[in-house]
Formats: sequence, structure tokens, C-alpha cells
Amino acid sequence: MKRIAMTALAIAVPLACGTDTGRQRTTFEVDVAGIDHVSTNDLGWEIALTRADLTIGDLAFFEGDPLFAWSDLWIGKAYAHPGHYVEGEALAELLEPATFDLLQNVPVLYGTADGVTGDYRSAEVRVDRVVLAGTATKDGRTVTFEWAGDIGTNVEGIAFGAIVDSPTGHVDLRVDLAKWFERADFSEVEDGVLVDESQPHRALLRGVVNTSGFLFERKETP
Amino acid sequence: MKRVVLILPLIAACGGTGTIEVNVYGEDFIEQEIPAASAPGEEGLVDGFTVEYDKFLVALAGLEIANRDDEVAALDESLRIWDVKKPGPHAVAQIEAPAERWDRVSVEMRRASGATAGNADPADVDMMNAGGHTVIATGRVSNETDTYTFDWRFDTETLYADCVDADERPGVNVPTGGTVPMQLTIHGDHLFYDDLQSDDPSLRFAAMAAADTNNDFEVTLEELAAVDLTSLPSDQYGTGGDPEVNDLSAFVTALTRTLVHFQGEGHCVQIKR
Repeated sequence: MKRIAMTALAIAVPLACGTDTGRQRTTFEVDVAGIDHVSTNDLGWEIALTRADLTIGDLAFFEGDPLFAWSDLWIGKAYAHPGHYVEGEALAELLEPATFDLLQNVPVLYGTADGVTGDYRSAEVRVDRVVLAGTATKDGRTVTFEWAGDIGTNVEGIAFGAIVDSPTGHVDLRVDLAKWFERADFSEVEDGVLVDESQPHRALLRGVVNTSGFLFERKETP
Repeated sequence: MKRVVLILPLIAACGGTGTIEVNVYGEDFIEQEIPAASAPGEEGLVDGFTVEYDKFLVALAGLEIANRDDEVAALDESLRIWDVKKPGPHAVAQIEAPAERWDRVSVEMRRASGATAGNADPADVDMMNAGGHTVIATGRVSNETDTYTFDWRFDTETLYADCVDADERPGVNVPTGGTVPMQLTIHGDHLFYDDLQSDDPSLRFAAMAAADTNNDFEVTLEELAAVDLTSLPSDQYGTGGDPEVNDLSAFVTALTRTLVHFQGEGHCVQIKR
């Protein structure tokens, strides 16, 4: 997978204001929270989580169109760039690794992103690790499960549409936990363990890197 | 060769005019074969299969050549069927345009309805129109022991916009008094990609061969639809999170949105219609 040099991300900001890009340096806070702690997946399993930890390695924002945004109303049209995600110019970054308890009821501050003003259109999240536990219930059968996965994947081309032109806003990242479990068949869970390359294991590996599981929104501070 | 409607009055060109010669081309992968990779990292299918297309029909329309000032040099709305299995490149249009960089090129893969032949046989044009298809790909996939056939018909409509060449240069630069080629390159290997997101996907067929559950050695889209992606190894057929792609049929259908490239290895923004 393509990996940008996050430690030396070349954010294209002019050293002096008033050059042809018109960009200004800016910072904004990013907070993280999980949503859909309880959900019913495509296969009819009702998932109730008791633990959902996510370790993010870093986060970056780009001007390139999102990889998939089939139904994002904000963008007005649907994009697909299979194999050809064009991230464009890097606009902001947040480099600190951090682990989030996605079951907390309040958003947690991730940190302050450094970047430039501009038309933000996509984001990339480095998903390093997830730890999940809970129950899945279907047709009167309840399966208890635990799973810890080292993912190490950049989830790129995530839809994010915002004009960042002021220092007064912040960005919400909401992680839709229902997307992670959408295709998991818990009938194959053995003794609470998701065996490697079993169906639910594969489904979770696909789910946690699903771009539609990461929801970004820019909010202006009143 | 078709001459398309010239929108911008040539009198507007202070620097003279030149010619854009548009063609469509299936390259060796469609015209000849997609080989089995001879070694890891080499070009071809990684699981020992070889693909040979019999037909590769595409319905193209809405070729537009414009600039960032929204001046349009040419707009060709005719819907035509091209069989890029036939040896090419195939001439699409010859356009006289003011000599400058025309940096906004787009073309649509549009469902056939009343389409006419580009270079396709009349019976194939009828087949595309009758089914309202955008792409029909037929052929054979073989390894040392087996040969599978396929006849895949797709209806996915895609606008390919803001095309850039392999060096990220947008559109074409028309020289004064000269000619510049402009190629719509059809990448037939993409139907065998094993990832919708990766910059460097592998080509493979084994999972598709295994989908032939009635053992007739024809792999149909219906059989591919029965293969949930979660039944396949987690390092294959990654979707990058496309929420609409959960089985192999949806996967290969999604790949049809990547078929049209620009000037060989250049690419366009792909917009779902």
C-alpha cells in the first residue's frame, strides 16, 4: 500500500503569505468517538460490545477526492478510484499515535492537527490495532467473543468535505462500529475466539479498514 | 474516422490551430493475452492462469475536450461500440482545435441504446444495444490442466473526467500546425485485479475458477455473485471499504469503472453515473 512519508509530510504552505497558493497555516483539534455500539449486522447478528479499543498511528488530510463516496450527499457526485486514489496535496496532519476507548460516551481529544487552509476532500487514517469484545446474538443463541488484531493499514481516501479557512473550527472523527461487524457470521466463532482466516476474522479484517466506517465532520466553533 | 462538432470558433485562436487525433486501443493484454506471471513480481496472473479475450466491447460517448476556462474545443455525443480485441489503435475522431493545452478531457462509458458501430461488428452492436450494456468481455482463462470460458456483460456507467497522462499532465497540448495523438486506452487486465484500492494489485483467477460450482467450466457473473468476499483469504480482493462490494460479481463489476485510461498509463477521475 502506498505510504506517504508522514514524518516529513510536505504540506505545501508558502513560507510567506500572499504567494500564489493563498494558503495560510492553521491548526485544528480532532476528537474521536465511537458510534453504533449496539447494532444488527447484515447476517442478522445483534452485536453488543463491551470493549472497543482503536489505536491510530497517525492521521492526514488531503485535497484529493475520496476513494469511494458513492452516496455522500455533500460531494454531489460519486467517485471511485480503484487502484488510483489520487491524494493530491497534503493539507494537514496529526502524527501522534493514540489509543481510544470507542465505548466512551463522550468524544476524546486526539490532538491538534497542523496544516494549511484549503479545500479538504479526503483523509487517511493509520489503523494500527483494534481490541474488541462483546456478544453476538441471533435466533436465541448468544456468542461471546474477544479479538485483538494488529492491523497496520493506512485507510486512505476517506471522504471528508470541508473548506478550512478559519482557525475557529475543529474536526470530529466518528468511528462507526457497526461497519466493522457488518459481514461477520458469529456462528463460526469457536469458544469465543475468532480463529485466523475464519469467516468472522476475515469479515472483521475487512470491516475495520472500511472507509465508510470513518466519518469526518468539520465543525465551526461558535 | 469521425469528425466531431467543433464548438469553439477557430477564429478565437490567435496562435493558429492543430489537430487532435483520438483513438481507442486495447493494448496487448486485450489483443493478445494476459500471461501467467513467470516469476513473483513479474507481469501476469500470479496463480498460473492465462487470459485470452475473444471480444472486448465497450460503449463510449460524450467525448469532450475543453479547457479550464470552460471553452470547449469539441464535444462528440455519439454513442459508439468499439471492439478493442481487434488490432488497433482504432481512430475515433480527428479534431481541429486552437493550438493550446486543452486540459479538460472526459469521456463516458454509457449504456448502449441506439448505439452505432465504432469498429464493432453489426451483430455485436445489436447485442450491446439489446442488453443496454456498457461492456461485454468474453474469452478463455487457462492453466496447465483446465480452460474456463467467460461471457461477462456489464451495465455500469462511468464518466471518466479530467484525464491526465502518465506524467500527470492534463489533457493534450495542441501544437500549431501539428498533430497530437489522444488515446483512450482500455486496460483489460483490470478485470482480474484482486484489490480495488491498492496501487499494486495482483492479477488472479483461481477464486473465480473455484466459483464454477456447476463444473461446466464457464464462470458466470451469477456464480461469482455466490462468492462472498469473506470466504476468500483476507489478503485478496480487498475493497478499500467500498460498501457496495461484498461478492466477486460486485467486485469485477466495480473494476469495470477502472477500464478506461488516458494516453496509455494515464488516468481519469472516475465518476459513477
